[in-house]
Amino acid sequence: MRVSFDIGGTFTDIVLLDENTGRTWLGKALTTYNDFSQAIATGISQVLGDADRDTDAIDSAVVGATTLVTNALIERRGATTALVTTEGFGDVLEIGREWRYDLYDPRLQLPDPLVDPEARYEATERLDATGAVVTPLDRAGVERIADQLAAAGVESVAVCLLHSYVSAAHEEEIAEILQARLPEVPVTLSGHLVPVIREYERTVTTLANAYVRPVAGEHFEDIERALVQLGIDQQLMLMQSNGGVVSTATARAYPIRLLESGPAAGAIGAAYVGRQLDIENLIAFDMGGTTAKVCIVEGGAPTVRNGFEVGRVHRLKSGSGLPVSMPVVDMIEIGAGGGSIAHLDGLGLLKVGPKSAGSRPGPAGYGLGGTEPTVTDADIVLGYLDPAYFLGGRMSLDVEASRRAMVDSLGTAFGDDPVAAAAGIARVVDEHMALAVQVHLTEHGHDPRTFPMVAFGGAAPVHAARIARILGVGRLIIPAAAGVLSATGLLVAAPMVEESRTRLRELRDWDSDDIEAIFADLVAQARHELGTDIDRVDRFVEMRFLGQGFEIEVPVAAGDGPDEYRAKFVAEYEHIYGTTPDYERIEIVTWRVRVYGPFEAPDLTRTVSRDAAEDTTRTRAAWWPETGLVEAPVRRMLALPVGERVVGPAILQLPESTAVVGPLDEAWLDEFGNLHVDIATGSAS
Amino acid sequence: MTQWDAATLQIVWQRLISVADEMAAVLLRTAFSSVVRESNDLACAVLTPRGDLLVEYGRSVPVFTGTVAGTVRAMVAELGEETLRPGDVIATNSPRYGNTHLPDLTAATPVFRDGRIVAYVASICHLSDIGGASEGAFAQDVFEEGFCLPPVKLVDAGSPNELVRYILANNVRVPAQVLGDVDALIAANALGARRITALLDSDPTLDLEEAAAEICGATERAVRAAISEIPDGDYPASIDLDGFEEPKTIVVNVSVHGDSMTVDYTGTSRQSTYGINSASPTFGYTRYGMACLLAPELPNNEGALRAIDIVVPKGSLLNPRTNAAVSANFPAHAIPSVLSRALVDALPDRASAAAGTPFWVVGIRGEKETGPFASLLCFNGGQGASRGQRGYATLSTPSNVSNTPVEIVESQAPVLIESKTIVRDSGGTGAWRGGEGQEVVLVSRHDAPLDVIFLTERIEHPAPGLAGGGAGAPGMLLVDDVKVAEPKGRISWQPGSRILMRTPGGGGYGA
Repeated sequence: MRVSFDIGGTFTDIVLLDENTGRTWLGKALTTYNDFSQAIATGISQVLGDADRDTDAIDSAVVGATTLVTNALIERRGATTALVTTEGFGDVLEIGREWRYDLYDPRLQLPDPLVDPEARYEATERLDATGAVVTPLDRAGVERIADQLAAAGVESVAVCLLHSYVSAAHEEEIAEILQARLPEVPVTLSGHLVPVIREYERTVTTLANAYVRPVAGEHFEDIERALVQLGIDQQLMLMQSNGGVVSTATARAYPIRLLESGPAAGAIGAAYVGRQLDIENLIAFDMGGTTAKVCIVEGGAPTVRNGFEVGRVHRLKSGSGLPVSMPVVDMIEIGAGGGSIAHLDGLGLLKVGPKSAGSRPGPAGYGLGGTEPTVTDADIVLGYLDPAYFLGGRMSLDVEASRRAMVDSLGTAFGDDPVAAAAGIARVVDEHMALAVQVHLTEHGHDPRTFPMVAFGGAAPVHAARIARILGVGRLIIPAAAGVLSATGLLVAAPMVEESRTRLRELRDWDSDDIEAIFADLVAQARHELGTDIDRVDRFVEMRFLGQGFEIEVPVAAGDGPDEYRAKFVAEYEHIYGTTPDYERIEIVTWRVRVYGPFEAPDLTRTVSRDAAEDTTRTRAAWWPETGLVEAPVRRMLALPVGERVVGPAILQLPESTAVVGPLDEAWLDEFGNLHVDIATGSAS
Repeated sequence: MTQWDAATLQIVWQRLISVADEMAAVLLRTAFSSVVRESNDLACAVLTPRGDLLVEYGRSVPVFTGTVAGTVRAMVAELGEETLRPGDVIATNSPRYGNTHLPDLTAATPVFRDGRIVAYVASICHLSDIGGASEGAFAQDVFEEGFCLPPVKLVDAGSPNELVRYILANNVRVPAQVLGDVDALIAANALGARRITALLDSDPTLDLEEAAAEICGATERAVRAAISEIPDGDYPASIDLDGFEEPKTIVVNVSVHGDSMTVDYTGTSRQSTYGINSASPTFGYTRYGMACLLAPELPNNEGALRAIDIVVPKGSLLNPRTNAAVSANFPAHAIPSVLSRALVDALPDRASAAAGTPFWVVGIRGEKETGPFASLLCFNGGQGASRGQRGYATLSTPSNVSNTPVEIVESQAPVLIESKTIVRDSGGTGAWRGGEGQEVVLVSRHDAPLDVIFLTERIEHPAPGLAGGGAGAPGMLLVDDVKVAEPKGRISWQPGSRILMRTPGGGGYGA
């Protein structure tokens, strides 16, 4: 059997899988912040109990995702860290890119650099853009830096020198000297972690890795110890932001690759649901309490981009965080979830979010003291959520409080009609999400009308059918395990590492030996980090027309020559920008491999749920734009007979969520326990 | 007929903003001009059939926020609306038609529906080169500054105007890049036109002029409400600048009367012989400066300026006569600071001390074995402090241009940057200190002299503090340890020679 855990901000989710039968058992435990391994132990014991098995039954690697690395970075609970730069460039970290993420706020706040000026050390050395030595490394100077680091009690060191993406020779020399003097202190080299051009982003990434490295190492050890104590004698593997899993040995050296491990696992889970249904391309849509996330799955795998931001001062303002140049599942984040608060702004417009009521006091309808109207309150007023069966009956809802919040906050704009105000909130949220999805897909050259949508997370099944209708998406799938899809994704993710390197090469200067050497170096590093045999190597290059500043990634094959590179690039360029370029010179900027270890994805059949027994047929008054307030059937989703078609309007309840089926949409359950909703696209309002 | 409730207006407005944002993404990603892709020197907008600004890309640099609509209207007036056909792209870089300066090209595309223009989409981008002095301040009229393209059809009913491209390519130093920039503008507009068409397809009842009335009306009401909060009266101020050959002063009087105001620049220095004059950027920066002071959260549109009357004497630095040189319209960057000085007593929590502006520019041109190159490098000074907050070091204010990474600079031009450091204590003193400037040392590694232009400010006149705060440190520009005689001029940069520059610090706030 296999087991996985996803340590999230509130809950730690566990999934246990019997590979022989494909059965899974789901568990949830409150995340234990003082010692994360406690919740894992609690959860694993719980699912083993449900399955009536003991720990001996677990006979393959335990796979996990964790939010700890991100938390350590955001909450600034990392190690005492020092940065070594090229002489004259210690301030790169503080100078940044010099632009303002908000043009109109003279009081905007920038994230503080991870280390103060006194923790930045400058080494005398210099390479030029070709990697040639302009100034040799002053080794005696580095010895003196080592003395200072020892005296300052530094626990972790980042080294980022100019042009180390071309040659890491000077960085490696510094690491040697430091390690001889400070053998206990881990050293992160930018030329190994992230050998790509642009010194500010590379410095921040390298420093962030060094900053979380000791904390992450302890965290992984805690988990390993907890597993041993439970009696599970299996290797621990961890999910990276790019959707591949790695051994703890590699994760310990490069914990920064794990920043988005939970959301990446969710995208992998959505891709897996698609593969079960022979759907290669889909929109993965996850909506929780404070935000929604959207990711494109293409060819059975989530798309990956290179670089994102962590610890934003303003969650949704790009540029307000620390840039991390690492591969990450390409997700857009929208500041609207169930807890997002609606208000009328200074212009009288109805705005939803980004402020969230969180879980305390939460939406007004929770009856915990909240008075501001949230998306969840709108869903309550519109009749979508069952006041008596919220979170599987664990909580009851105060409908009157939700209605009151609508009128008190938004009544002036909606004639004191709570349903009109709630409908306004739902429209704004759904349109906002649909617009974001539309933009994200068209930026990648896709037409959303050709993509099915997989919706998961607490609030997504409530809104997904309407968002699909606005987008013209014809097919919606709500997986049985919609509430724990990340933990499910962990069980089906292959071992994979990704390596990239900047090497500027013009296509007209094509040299096969040079190019094979670049790829061979990347694969060699990948092999080392993977720690297993190599099953498959996928090659990618980022290209641009000479003189442009942005690159497009295209997959290339081992036998491709310059003509194939050009053709693939030009085709992708036309696909994305809708123009046919006739520029002559093309430049390759970044070379990349994704290297997979051997892995056979298990088959997951129908999820075991304690909830699947009864079916009470009843109705509730609910509102849709096409119908107004109508009596709609209310069913338990997992109790539907496989294949029975339910024509909307209808409300299908899940243990952790509610699927809202719009007028003339048709819903049916498949043999895996996924709910399919065929959207009545012709009637989009 | 659309029912304009609080939800509908929000949704339509957001959709339109998203069109401008998507256009900008295409422009940014496909342009060849380094100042566009690394420094974001661009704008994208959606306008009504009358040429009124409806929405704008949120990160457009402020200088364009008041110019795009005027340029589009002037182009349409010159060419005649009746001559426009589906698939046209019209463009100009001429200051005579409201454009900022020659290096910026404004391109507009009419969006047709049922044979009628229902909107324009427009983009502006700073080209890789425009011949002549290009960005240099030393030219003495617009003809010397470079190639001027009067309003023309860049694309005629879907077909590129090859004659215009041919003439343009033969008047610039890096023709391939410039034509690439032109293509980027066309691609951005094509996307915008497609998006507007799709928007109207999905909601055929939507009338963009009606939407404009709602959007601009809401904005106008919010601006008027903010002005009403300021007591009636006159609010005068001034600010001094290095100028070119002689110092210049911007003088302003903001007079508030009820829910409207007049911003009067009477008393400002007369226009310069050289290219530091500001024509249309005066309006962009006045609107931007007032938006920061009055209602920073409002997106920009035609409604933002209805309550504000702007008076600029003809023949002054901020409103030069036709054909005056305007390439380095940097004095306009001091406008938000002078407006803050004027209104600091009325709006003490919104005003900021002067920044170490404008950003400095070093333009490097030459010939490598791989062909000609032109690099435009930007270096920002310190931000001005405000009540309750120190200024940040090296933060672009009031413009918003990023630096070019050292590794990119050195990959593209034969230079070595020896150091790039923050000049500690260069921010003005005060209860809240101004932001610090930076010191950068550049060495030429080329085997032949390079053609270098400088655009600098505040070497003689530092950024003043506000509400009792001290001035920031002035800037400094040396070549081989010798002060550059004309820091807005042009030099022949010798192999191995060393440029040292220090950008100015921002002013402090409060005693």
